[in-house]
Amino acid sequence: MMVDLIPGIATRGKNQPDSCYAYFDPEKVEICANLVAGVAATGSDHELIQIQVKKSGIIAEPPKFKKMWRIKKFASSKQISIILEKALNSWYNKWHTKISREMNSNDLRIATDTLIETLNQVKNSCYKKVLKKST
Amino acid sequence: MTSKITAGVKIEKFSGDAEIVYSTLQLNGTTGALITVYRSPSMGTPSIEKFYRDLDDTVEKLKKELKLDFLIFVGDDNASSESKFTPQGRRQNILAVSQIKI
Repeated sequence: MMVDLIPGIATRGKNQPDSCYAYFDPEKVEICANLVAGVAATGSDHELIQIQVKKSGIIAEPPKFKKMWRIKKFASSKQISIILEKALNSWYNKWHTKISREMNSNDLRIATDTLIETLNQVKNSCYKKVLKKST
Repeated sequence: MTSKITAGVKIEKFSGDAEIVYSTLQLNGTTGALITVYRSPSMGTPSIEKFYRDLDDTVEKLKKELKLDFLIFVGDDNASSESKFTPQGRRQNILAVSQIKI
């Protein structure tokens, strides 16, 4: 059976009520009605009826964290300098005779790519990604 | 109908009839409907039967299409059983609304 949520309450004038009924399972939801702030709040001659539906028995899920990574240094600054200098010398010895004003664009691209790859190899050997936080 | 939370909530509003408007709410496995009814005092008795048939059809439609956990009916004072302007026949129909089961 529907339950009158505003029994005997006049919502328009002194004795004119609006209707507000609800049928629900109180074990699943909680439903209540409130009159809000009087007639002036609505701009009409009726009082505002606010109905609240609250869900019961919601099972909270554990919080989810996304994986956070950080870059950790695995060599001292001195060791990194030595490794970097050795790698750059190797690249220089291979390419310094070939780099000139007359160098074609394809060779220039290969030289550039090789330099970037050399720097990445140094970085990857000295720094590692480590997991900071996960679920 | 509004919700304080956004995730997991589905609210739909249906306003096919000027006098009878309803919204459905789905939240975390719970489904419900809110029917709001407005009836102008200028609407005469002859159409009152159609009005209640439409209301009954709306309730039956909702009961058939959704497994309702709750149903809320909000009516204008002209559709209130307590209204001093409510003719006896309407009053009985309104009281019948209060007997709705889902």
